[in-house]
Amino acid sequence: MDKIVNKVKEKLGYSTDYIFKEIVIDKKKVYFIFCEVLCNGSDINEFILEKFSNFNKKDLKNLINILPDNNIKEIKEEEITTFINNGFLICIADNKILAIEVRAILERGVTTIESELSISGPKDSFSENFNTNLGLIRKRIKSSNLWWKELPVGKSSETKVGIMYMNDIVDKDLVTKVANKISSIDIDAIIDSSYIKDVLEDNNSFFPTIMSTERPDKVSMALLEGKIAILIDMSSYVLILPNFFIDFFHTVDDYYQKSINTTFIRIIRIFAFFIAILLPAFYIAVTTYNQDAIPMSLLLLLKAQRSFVPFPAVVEALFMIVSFEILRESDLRMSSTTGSAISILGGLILGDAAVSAGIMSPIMIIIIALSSIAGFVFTSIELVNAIRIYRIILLILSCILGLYGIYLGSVYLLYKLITLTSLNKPYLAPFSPFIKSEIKDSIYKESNTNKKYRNPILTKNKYRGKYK
Amino acid sequence: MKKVIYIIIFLCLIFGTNNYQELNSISIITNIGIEKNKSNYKLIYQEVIPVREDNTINNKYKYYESLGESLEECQKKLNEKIVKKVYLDHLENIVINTDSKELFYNLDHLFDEEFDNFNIYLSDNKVKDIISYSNNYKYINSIADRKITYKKIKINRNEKRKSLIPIIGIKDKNLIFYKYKNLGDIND
Repeated sequence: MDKIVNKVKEKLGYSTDYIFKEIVIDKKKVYFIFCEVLCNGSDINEFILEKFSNFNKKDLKNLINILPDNNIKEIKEEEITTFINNGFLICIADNKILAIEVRAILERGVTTIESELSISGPKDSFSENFNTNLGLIRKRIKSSNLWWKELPVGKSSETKVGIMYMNDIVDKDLVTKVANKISSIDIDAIIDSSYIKDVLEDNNSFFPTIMSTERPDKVSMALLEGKIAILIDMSSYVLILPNFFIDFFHTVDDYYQKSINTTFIRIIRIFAFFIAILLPAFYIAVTTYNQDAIPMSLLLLLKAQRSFVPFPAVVEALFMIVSFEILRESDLRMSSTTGSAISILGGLILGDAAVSAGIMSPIMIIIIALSSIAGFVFTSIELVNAIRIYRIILLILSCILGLYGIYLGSVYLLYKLITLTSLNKPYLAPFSPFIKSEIKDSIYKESNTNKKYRNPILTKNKYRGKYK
Repeated sequence: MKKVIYIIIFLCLIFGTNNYQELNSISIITNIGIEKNKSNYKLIYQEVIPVREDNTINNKYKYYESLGESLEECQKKLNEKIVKKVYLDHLENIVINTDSKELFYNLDHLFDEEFDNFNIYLSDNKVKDIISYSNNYKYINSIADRKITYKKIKINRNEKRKSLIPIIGIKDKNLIFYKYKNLGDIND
C-alpha cells in the first residue's frame, strides 16, 4: 500500500493541494488521498473520516456497502490520479482501492441569460456544470427517445463531450458523423465549446454553420427539429448543428409571440442584414461614381456636408468603421461601469467633436452607426463578425467599381452562401433547394400548434405531433 | 494557377473604371444659357454651391461665361476655366436666346447621347438675367407649366412631329412665360 501511495505522490509531482492522510484502524493502515480544491472538506470530515473513526477491522472489508455515498466504486491502481482529479476521495484499505465522490460545487448554479435576451419565455441559462446543463434539457424533454452519448476529449483535460439527439427524429448518419468527428479530435485540452467548432465546421467561411447558445429552451426546440446538441463540460454554451442561414435570423422569442408580429420582425431583420452589409458600400458608390442616382436636393445636402471634409469618402468610411470597432472592443473588455463611460465618451463626445473639427461628415457618422447597429440585431456573434467582414469587402469593391462593384461582391457573397454546407446539408435551404413546407417557418412564421412538417432535409420523420 | 486567373479576371474587371469623382471635386451645373450674336456663341454655366451655415444648408450660385465660334469651343474654354470637374448629370434647364433651329439640334455635341432629360426654353432677354433671376435653381422650371425636354424634341424630330418651345422673359421685373413657339417656325 505504501508503494502505491508513493507512486501516486510521484505521479502528481508532490503538489501541495493533494492531501495524503493516513489513519490506523485496529492496527491496519488506511490511506486517504484527495485534491483539496476539488473536494468538499466538510463532506470528507462528516461522512468519511467521522465514520471511519467508528469502524473496526471487519468493516474495512465491506467498505463499499457501509459508506454513506451513492457514488463509490472500486478502481484500479492506474485510475487513481484520474479519479483524484475528478473530485473523488481515494481510500486505500485492505488492499482495495475505493473512489468516493466528494466533489465540491465550483459552479455558479443556474443563472439568468446574459447574451440571448428575450422579452418572454424562460430565463434560465446553461452553466459550466455538465450535469446541470443536461438536467435543464431533460426537464424540458422527458421522452425516452432523448438519447445521449458521452466521449472524453483532450489528452490533458479529458473533458466530457456529450452528443444529444432525439433518437426517433434525428438522421442517424448525422449522429455517427458528429461522433466520428469528435472522436478524431486530437488536442491537449478542451477549455470551451468553441474549441470543437473548428472541427465540426465543413467549410472555412466567415458565416457560421454551428450555433452556440446558452438557452436550454433553444436547444430543446432544435432537438425536436431533428438537430444535434453538443454539451461540453465546463462550458456554458451548447452547440447546435446542423444550421441553415435563415436559422440565424430567428430568435426563441419568435416562438413566444404572435405569428403575425414575428413575421413582421423577421422581415425587419432581413432588412437589417442588408442595411448592415450594404449601406456604407452603397453610400460610397453613389457619392463617388453614380451621383446621377441621387436626387438633386439630396446631392446638394451631401455635398454641403462633405464640403469641409479633407479625406476621400472611402477613407472617411474606413476611419469611422475602424474607430467604431475599437470603441466596441474596448467597451466589451471593460467592466459595465467603465464601459458606459467609454460609450458616452466615444459615441457622443468624439463623434460630435469629429464633426465640429471637420474631420467627419455627419452623414457618414449616420451611415456607419446605422449599419453597425443593424448588425447587432443578430444574436450570433459569428454572424455579426461575418457581416463586419463583408461590409468592409463590399466597401472596398464599391470604392473601386461603384455600384458594379457592389453587384460583383453580392454575387460572390451569394455564391459563397449557396456552396456552404452544414454537416453536408445545404446552408441556404429552404430557399436553395426550395422547400415549400419549410418556407412557412423561414420568413413567415406559422402558428406553433399548426406546424405540420419538420424540415425534410434534417429528418425522415417529417410529421409533427398530432399529424403523425 | 487558379489564383493567377482570378487576379487577371479581377484586373480586367476593374480596368477602365476611372470615373471616380468625389462630391468635393465636382461643380454641379444646374442651368445653362446659350446666346448667339452673329457668328459668335456665348455659353453660360450656373453652378450651385451648397453651403452649410449654422445647421442649415443654403445654396449659392456661381456663373461661368465663355465666348467662341462654336458651342464646342465655348464648352472647352469653360471646362478649362472651371477648376473642378463639370458635372452636368443634374442639369435642369437650358435657356437659349436665339432663333436658330440648328442650335436646338446641335446640343447633341455638348452632351452624351443618353443625356437629354433637361428642359429647353427660349427667351428674348439676356440669358444670364434669366438663369440668375432667382436664388432657386428650380425657379425657371415653375414658369412654364408644360415642360419641353430635349428628349421630347429629339423624339418629335425623329417622328416628324411638331415641337413647342416655351418662351420666357423678364417683364416688370418678373420672370414670366409668354407663349409656345413651334420649333418648325424657327429659322434655320
